[in-house]
Amino acid sequence: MEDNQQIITEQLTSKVVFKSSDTLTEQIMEKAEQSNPSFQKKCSFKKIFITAVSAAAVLAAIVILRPFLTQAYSAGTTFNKASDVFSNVSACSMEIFVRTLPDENFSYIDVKQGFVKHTLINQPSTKRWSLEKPGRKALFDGTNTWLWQPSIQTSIGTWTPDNRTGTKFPGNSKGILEDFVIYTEPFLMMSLEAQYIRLNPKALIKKEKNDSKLTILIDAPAIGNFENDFCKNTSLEETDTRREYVFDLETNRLLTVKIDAIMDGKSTTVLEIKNIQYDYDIDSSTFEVPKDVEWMEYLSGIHGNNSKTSEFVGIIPERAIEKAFAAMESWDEETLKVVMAQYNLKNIKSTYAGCRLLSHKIHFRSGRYAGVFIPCTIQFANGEKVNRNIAIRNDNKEHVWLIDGGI
Amino acid sequence: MDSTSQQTRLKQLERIVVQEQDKLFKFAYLRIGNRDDAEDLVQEVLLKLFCSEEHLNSIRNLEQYLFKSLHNQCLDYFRKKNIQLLPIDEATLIPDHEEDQEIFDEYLRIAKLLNTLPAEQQEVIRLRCTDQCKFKDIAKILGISLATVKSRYRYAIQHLQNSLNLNR
Repeated sequence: MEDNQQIITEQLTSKVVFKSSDTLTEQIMEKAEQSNPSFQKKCSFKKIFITAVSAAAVLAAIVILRPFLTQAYSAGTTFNKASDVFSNVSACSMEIFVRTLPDENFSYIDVKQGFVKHTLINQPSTKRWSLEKPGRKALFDGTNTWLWQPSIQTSIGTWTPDNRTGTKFPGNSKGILEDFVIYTEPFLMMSLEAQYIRLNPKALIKKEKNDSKLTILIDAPAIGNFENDFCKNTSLEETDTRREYVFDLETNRLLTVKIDAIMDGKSTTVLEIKNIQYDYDIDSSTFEVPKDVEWMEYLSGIHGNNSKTSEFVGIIPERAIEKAFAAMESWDEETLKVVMAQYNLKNIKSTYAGCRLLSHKIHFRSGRYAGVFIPCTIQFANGEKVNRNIAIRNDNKEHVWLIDGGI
Repeated sequence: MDSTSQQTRLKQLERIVVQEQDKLFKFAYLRIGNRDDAEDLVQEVLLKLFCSEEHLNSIRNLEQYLFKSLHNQCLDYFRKKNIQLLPIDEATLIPDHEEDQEIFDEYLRIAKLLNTLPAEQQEVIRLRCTDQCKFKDIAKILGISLATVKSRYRYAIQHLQNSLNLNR
């Protein structure tokens, strides 16, 4: 037995010399010299700002698109029939492939990334849903909505996120999915598309029948005010798109969806829906949340609602930004809980504590974003200076200014 | 950090890089099979160490520390790679660099040997046999108990004995 064990360990012991490249030391030292060890960052800037609720403010460097969301209501026959099918199934599941990063917000789309598989399970009768991608999972269990980073099986073991905390939101808080929300309600996705067709005369519609399938192609121009084109091509709504829906003629079921973004004359597929299963057999654990996650209750209301709230009401957005950065510099959490209510302060503290606003320009509006963008020059605690377009909005009931992106 | 302490820290890092880079490269390559990606992960781990609050001269078990960090980087690498829809490229059976044929063959040989084991057992075997780690270090690297390490190792060896027909 021991001899056998020795044979195996010998076979697994490598006799080959593994030599790293001659330039590796040099490369590492060069990078180290450029970095400053006193400035601790858990995430890169890129990661921080794209985690923000609306990444629209920082899209100058990275093209971020979000799934389309039309504001209309149902009309088109085919889409309405498909919508009815989704409403009447006991449950459905589908695979949604999106060009994005695994652990970013569901709404984050980047044409430069590979496809990430999302799995949606929806049960219309109970309104329960579950949406999962590697690195992020959200579900509504009938009472609360939960959002966390699940562990993932890889080919060399289980990857577990450093941060085993999740957030519990009251009720069916689908808003946490932002524009991805329509995929938790496939029937809504269909009826909204029908309405879009009806209300947008510029959209070109083409129908193709092939054997038992019907394909509908929609060439839709970008929607929004592009007097300032900062938001152009930053979401599917604000991008010229071609959307392809394939239906089964006999059952009226939606079979596949493909959305291409058309930019600079080039077409890139950014989202695909495949493997739609109707009357899907739901597993009893589908809507269960893990017990080893530390759950944090989401603050009631849209802001921290403390004594500092009034300081962010009735002022111009530029002044709100100045106050926000003053609070970051001294890390005044009471104030930050208000103006940065959409962020987990614990996660951003290492990067933004001590950060100063050096200068800013006057705000501008672009696309369909409800708030404004303010071009800012900021300086981090380590002295590094960067330019950011900070998104800030006050379209809430209390008209409190909230930073919404660019951080 | 002032420039003198920055320089001191850089020197400490350089010593670690020179001392550990080949070992770390082997660790990463035997899991990934790709020189560029393996070196990127090694670089990331060493830069993370440099940017950390650790005193570079007084890390108690440097190798274990670096292996743990690299193991996590590799997990993250696979996590990201697994989610890509890109088709599995047949070209991955050929090393990215011609001069890597020998180490690539070694990577394939060991990967094939371990292929039938569950991922968790594979990693214990790799750490023990190819990285020469002690059981207690493996437990720390993987964040599991010593007993679990030993049982995974035992099951893996038994399985390999059967699959290699050594029990006959």
